[in-house]
Amino acid sequence: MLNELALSVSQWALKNIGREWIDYLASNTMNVGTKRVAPFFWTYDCQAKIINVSHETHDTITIELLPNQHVAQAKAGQYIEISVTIDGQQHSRCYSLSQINRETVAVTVKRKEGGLVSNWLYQHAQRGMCLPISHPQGHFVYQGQAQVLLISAGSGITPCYALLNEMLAVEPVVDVVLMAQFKTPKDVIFAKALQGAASSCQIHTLLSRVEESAKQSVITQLEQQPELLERDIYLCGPAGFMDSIVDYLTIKQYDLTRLQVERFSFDNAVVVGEQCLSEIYFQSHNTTVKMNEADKGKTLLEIAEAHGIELEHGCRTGMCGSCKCRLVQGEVTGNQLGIAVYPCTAYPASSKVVIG
Amino acid sequence: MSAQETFNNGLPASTHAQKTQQRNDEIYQAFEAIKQKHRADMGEKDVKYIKKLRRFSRIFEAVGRTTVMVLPGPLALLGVPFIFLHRNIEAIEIGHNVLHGQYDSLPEVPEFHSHNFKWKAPVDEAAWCQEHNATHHVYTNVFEKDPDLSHGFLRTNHQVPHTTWHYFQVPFYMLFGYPTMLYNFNNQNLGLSDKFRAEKFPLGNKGYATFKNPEHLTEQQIEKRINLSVWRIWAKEYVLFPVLSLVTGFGFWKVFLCNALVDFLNNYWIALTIQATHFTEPLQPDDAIDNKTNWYISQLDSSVNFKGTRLQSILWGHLNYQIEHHLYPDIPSHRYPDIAKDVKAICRQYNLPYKLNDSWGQAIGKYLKLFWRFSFKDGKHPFPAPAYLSQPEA
Repeated sequence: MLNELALSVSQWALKNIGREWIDYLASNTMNVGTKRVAPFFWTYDCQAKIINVSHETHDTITIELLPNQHVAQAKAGQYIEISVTIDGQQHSRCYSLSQINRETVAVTVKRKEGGLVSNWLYQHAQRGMCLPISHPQGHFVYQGQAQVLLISAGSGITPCYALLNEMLAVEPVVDVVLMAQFKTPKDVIFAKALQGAASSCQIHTLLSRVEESAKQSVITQLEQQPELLERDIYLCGPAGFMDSIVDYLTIKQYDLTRLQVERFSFDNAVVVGEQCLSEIYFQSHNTTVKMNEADKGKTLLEIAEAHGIELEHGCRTGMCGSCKCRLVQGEVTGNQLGIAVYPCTAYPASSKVVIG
Repeated sequence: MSAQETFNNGLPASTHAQKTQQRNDEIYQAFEAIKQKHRADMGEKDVKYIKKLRRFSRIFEAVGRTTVMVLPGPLALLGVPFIFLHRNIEAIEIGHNVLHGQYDSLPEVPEFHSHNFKWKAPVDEAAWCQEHNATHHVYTNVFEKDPDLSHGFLRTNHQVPHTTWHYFQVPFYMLFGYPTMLYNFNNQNLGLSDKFRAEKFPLGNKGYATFKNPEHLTEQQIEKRINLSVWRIWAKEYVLFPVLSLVTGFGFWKVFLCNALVDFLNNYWIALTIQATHFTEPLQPDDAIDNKTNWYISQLDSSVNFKGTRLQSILWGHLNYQIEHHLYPDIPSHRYPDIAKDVKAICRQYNLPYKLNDSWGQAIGKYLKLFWRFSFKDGKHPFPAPAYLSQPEA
C-alpha cells in the first residue's frame, strides 16, 4: 500500500515536476531524514523503479522501469546495466532497451539457462521494486539513413524493436525492413506488436527450429531478396549468429562500414597492466573511449582530451586536486587514493575502467 | 632562470643551476613526504571529523532557529550566534574543504564527496571549483592569472592600472562588498565581473584575470545557475523559516531580520578571513608552476598564516593555515595544525620563508594598510618583498 503510494508519487513527480527540478530540490535538501523517507530521489545513484512486469513468451518478460532524475535520456538501440543483489552479492548485466517512453523505459529479459541475473529477474521482478541501473549507453542508434534493414536473432530483437518503433514514429516514416529470427513459434518475442507493425513496413518473422519444410533463416531470406543488401544494416543477436551474417555479407561484398552491430562483451575488468588498450567509460560524460595505439602511455586526462572529452582539471601535476574523480570499476596505476583517482597523473591498467 | 645569473660566486652557470635544481628537488621531496604521510593515514579519523562537524552544525541550527522563532522581541537575538555558527561551519569548514575534494577518497561519506556536495551558500559549486581549485590554487598570486588576486574592481598591487573607482575601494568594499561577499562569488566565477570592468574601466580587464568559460555556458545558462544557487539560500532563510514562524504565530519579520543579520555577519567574517591571507604576499613569476618542483615553494611564498586555537581555526575554515592549505589543498583541513609543524621544520632547514601573523587582527590590519595604499595611483607596497623564486640566490 505504502509502496504503491510511493510509486504513484514518484511517477507523478517525474512527469509534472521534471527531472531537472527534482535534482535541484533533492540535492539541496539531502540529509539523513530525506534519504530515509524517499531514497529513490534522495540518492546520488542512478536507480529505477519497476512499474510493470509482463510476459512476452514462456521464458521472456518485459520490465517497464521508471528511472530517477540522475539517469540520462535514452536513445533507441541503447542498453542499460541492471544490478541485482543475490545472496548479499551484487551482480550486473546489460540489457537492451526495448521501449522508450516519455518517463519510462523497458527492458525485455530472456531467461537464460544458468543465467544468474536473468533468472533472478524472471522470478523476483515485481512492481514497486527499486534497482540500481546505469545510464543508457551504446552506439547502436539510428543514424538517419533513408533505407534500413534490421536483422536480429532471439532476444537480439530487443534493440531492433526499439529502433523499429523509433523509425516508424518519425516523419517521414523511414523505409525499414525487419528480419527477426527465432527458434520456434513459442519463442517469438513481441509477436502481436510485430503483426501490428507489419501494416507499415516489411516484417519477416523467421523460424529456424521447425520441421524442414517451414524452416527459414535470415540467410535464406536474403538469398530470396538480394535487393535488401542495398540497405544499411543493423544487426543484433547471439555471437555465432552475428558471425555467420558477417561472413555472408563479406562473401556478398557488402560494404561493412554500412553495418552497425550490437555486441555485449561480458569480460569484467581484467588487470592487464599499464600498456593495455583499455575501454574507459567516463560516467559523468556518459561517454566510452576505446583507447588506440596513440593513447598508450598517456594519462587518463590526456586520453579523455584526445577523444574530445573535457574533464575538469587544474595543475596537471597531481597537486591541486581539481580533477579528482571516483574510480567505479577497474584498475588504474599512478596517483590514486582510496576510491579517488587523479586523472591528470593516473593511467588506465585494466581492460575496462569506469570513472565516476 | 635569468641572464643575471650567468656567473654566480665565480661558478659557471651550469654548475650553479644544477645546484639550485638539486636543492629545489630536495625541497620538493621533503614537502611531498608530508603529503604522502597524511595520504597514507586517511581514514576513520577523517570520517569521524566531518560527520561530527555536520552534527554540531545541525545542533547549532536547531537551537538557533528555535530560539529566534520562539523567544519574544530582542531576546530572539540570542539565537543569532547559533545560526551564525551553523552557517559559518557549513560555508567554510565543511563547504570550502569538501569542495576541494578533501573527503573524496572515503567511500563512507558520499555526501561529502565534492561532486555530490551542495553548498549551503549562495555559490554555484561547479563554477567555484573551476575558479578556485583549478585556477586560484594553481596560479596563486600570479598577475592576470589568479582571479582572486584582483576580484571585482579590487586593486592590491601597483601593476593593476589605476582608475577613479579605486579611490573608493576601501569604503566601498567595507560597506558593500564584504557584507555580501559570498553573493559576489558567482559574478567572479561566471564572468559578470569581467563584463563590469570591460564596461567601466578605460583599459577594460587589463590587470585582471578573466573568465574562460570552460563549460561553454550561454548567458541564459549562467543567469539560471546564479539564480538557482542564490534562491536555495533565500528560499530557506527569507521564505521558509519566516513563513513557518508566521503560521505558528511567532511573526515573520523577527525571523527574517535575524537571518539577514546572520547572513551579514557570516559574509563579513568570511571576507575578512580570506582577504588577509594572500594580498600582502609577493606576486609570483608567470612560470611559477611550469616546473613541478616549484609548486611548493611558490605556494609557500604566496600565502601567510595567522595564529589561532584549534576551535577558532574551525570557524576560519582552517584558512588561518593558509600556507598548509595551499601546499596541500586536498588533504583534510583538520590535519593542517599537525602539518604546520613539519612544514615549519622544512622551512627552517632550507631557510625558506614561513610567514605568520600573530593574530587575525594583525593580518586584517596589514591587509587594510595595503588596501588603502593601492587606492592611490602611486601607492607603494607597505611590505615589499620580491618573490622567493625571482631572487637570484633562490
